[in-house]
Amino acid sequence: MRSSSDVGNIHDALAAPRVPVLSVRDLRVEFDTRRGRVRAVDGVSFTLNAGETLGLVGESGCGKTVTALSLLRSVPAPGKIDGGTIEFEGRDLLSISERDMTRLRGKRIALIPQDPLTALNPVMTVGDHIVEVLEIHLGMRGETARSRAADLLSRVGIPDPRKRLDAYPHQLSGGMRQRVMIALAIACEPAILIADEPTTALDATVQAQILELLDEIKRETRMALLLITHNLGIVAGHCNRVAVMYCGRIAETASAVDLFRHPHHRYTAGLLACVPRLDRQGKGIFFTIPGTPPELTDLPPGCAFASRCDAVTDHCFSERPELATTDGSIMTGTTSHLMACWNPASLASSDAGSDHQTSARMAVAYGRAHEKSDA
Amino acid sequence: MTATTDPLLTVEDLRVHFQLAGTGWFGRGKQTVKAVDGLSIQIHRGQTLGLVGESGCGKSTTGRAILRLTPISGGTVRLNGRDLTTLSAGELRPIRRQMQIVFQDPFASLNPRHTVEQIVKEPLWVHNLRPENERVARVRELLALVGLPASAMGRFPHEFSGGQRQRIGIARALAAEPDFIVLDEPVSALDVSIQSQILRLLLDLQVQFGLTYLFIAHDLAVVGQMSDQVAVMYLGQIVEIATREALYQSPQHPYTQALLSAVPYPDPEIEAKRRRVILTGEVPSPVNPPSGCHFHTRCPIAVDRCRVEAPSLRAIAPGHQASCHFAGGPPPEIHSARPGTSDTASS
Repeated sequence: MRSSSDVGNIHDALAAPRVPVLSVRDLRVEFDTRRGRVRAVDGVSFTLNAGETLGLVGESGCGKTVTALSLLRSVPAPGKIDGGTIEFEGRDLLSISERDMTRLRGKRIALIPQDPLTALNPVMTVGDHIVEVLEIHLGMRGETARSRAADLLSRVGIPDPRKRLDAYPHQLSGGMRQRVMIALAIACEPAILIADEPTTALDATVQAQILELLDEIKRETRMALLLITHNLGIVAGHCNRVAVMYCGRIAETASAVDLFRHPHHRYTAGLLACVPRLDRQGKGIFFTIPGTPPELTDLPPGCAFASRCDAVTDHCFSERPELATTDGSIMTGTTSHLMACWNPASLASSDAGSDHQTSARMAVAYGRAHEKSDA
Repeated sequence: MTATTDPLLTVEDLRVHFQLAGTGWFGRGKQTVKAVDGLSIQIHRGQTLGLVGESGCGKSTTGRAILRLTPISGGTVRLNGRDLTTLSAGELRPIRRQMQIVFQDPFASLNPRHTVEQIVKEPLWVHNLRPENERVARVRELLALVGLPASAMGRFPHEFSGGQRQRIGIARALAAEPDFIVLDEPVSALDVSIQSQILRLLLDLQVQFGLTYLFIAHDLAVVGQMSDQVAVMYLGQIVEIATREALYQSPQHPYTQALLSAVPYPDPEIEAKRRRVILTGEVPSPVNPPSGCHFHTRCPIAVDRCRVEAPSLRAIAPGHQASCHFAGGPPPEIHSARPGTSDTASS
């Protein structure tokens, strides 16, 4: 079970100065579509540290998956990375050759995709999948590769791994398939593991198992984990830091503890309020963020969240807020609490940055404000 | 809880068994999957029963069997006092209007070649509701009810987001003017932020039209926001059923407790301190369910008795039933650190 010292670990992790394994600066990704040019990722910066989990959170279409795929230089056409740097092991991934990138992909930086069924080849056995990775990246052959593959399956908690090597993907349940994907991803002991909504298709019980498994592997191997999800509730127990994305930009980023205790951006507070909770049960007790995100082809000049925000001011419509620290200085690259909001929540109220209750009360207010207007 | 009137829906001892093709010749070695095995529920008008369980527990089959979308092997289903299980297809047709379904996958459940107008109008045509010339106006009205603009009518499902598609599915269900709707994981495929919009819409519609819901989901946190009563299913049977308050405040079955403990809490420090019951493995195959209590293979408090003797669903308190040998006594203490109960063997 989870040790109660995890909170301590989170604080330690924040206090200790770390050399990032990967650092993304001002990443931009464009898609040329029939309806015009769309900037799916617009100036995103973050770092990943060894042994740490960064949660990347946002609604469908906010650019979180495209950001993740950029790290692998696997953005699907017509998308293309048209700015920024991704520094990894002393090199800028955006300027190395495709050949070098192929050597890194799946070996040093691995991805667990969202849908484990479509990600696995239906005519290949589980063993074929893993052996292929071991052959290509590590040069393993024959029985060596097979027994390593069985070890990996057993590591991710698949019972009877030798037998499972010969199973086809359709013979496995959703949770088992996701475990196979994790085995594939950690086969080469990557420095960075990207998990794109790894539990969205799974039952709550299996979701908890998979997240625990990822935590364990992270602790053992000291890899950096980028956990992508639309559900802020999931990241709470499993991330050291969190970045909330909205319309291709980071709206707020902070340590997990800070972000959940004092969400400054109204969007973060809204997402937090949307998480169904066991301590707020009762028929009809839930909160909504009204409306949907604007089309990326038609972004407003000001804050992209303005039309859905309950604390909107004229300023929000006219000028786009940049990611800045809570005292207003523009981001300098440290991992302090940053947000892109003209009218941040707990700073505006008199009990600024108070206690644990702040977010809950704000959430309640947030929900009520939109009780009638969300249809 | 208004239990003074007769329930709108009464299901008694519902059984849905599927025959699997045998592996031997001439059908020898045929096996039976008891997808739903002796399920009884009642739902009063205007109320919601939440039905919760993991994939494969039979919750969707239950929903479909109640609507007679899947053949029933035994038991009765009464809607407004009328037994649906004895009706012929022809007799059933007018009654089908009263019961509708909203599906989980808003991408697969709408015909991609039909416009929104055609999709929502179809039930009007099938059940001959409203005169021909008023139907377009009715579609517009239904779309407004679910929060879609009239301009949506001429568009196709792929032009909409998941949440909007689910609104179209709800409008289609409402078109038949039903009394009872099966909501089969209506928000599982949606973003958390969109989920709450859809849930609020469903609740508003329930109040407005006095609808009765069977809300099927795998997430207890979501179910609690929608339901008056909650039933937890495991391998085709209800293992616990109670009012929402009772189930969340004093869950009796270890499976219910495990499901509750799997719900993430949006606070890192509380999460870190939480004692979690993580179930090992997955639901066993319903073809060959475990002996005794079906749950004993994953149960953190199972003893020898559980392996041989199947517990029956029994009353723990008024309106609260559970099928566990230990239910009702002192709340069973779950030893989460016990070997074999945790998936995290190394910690």
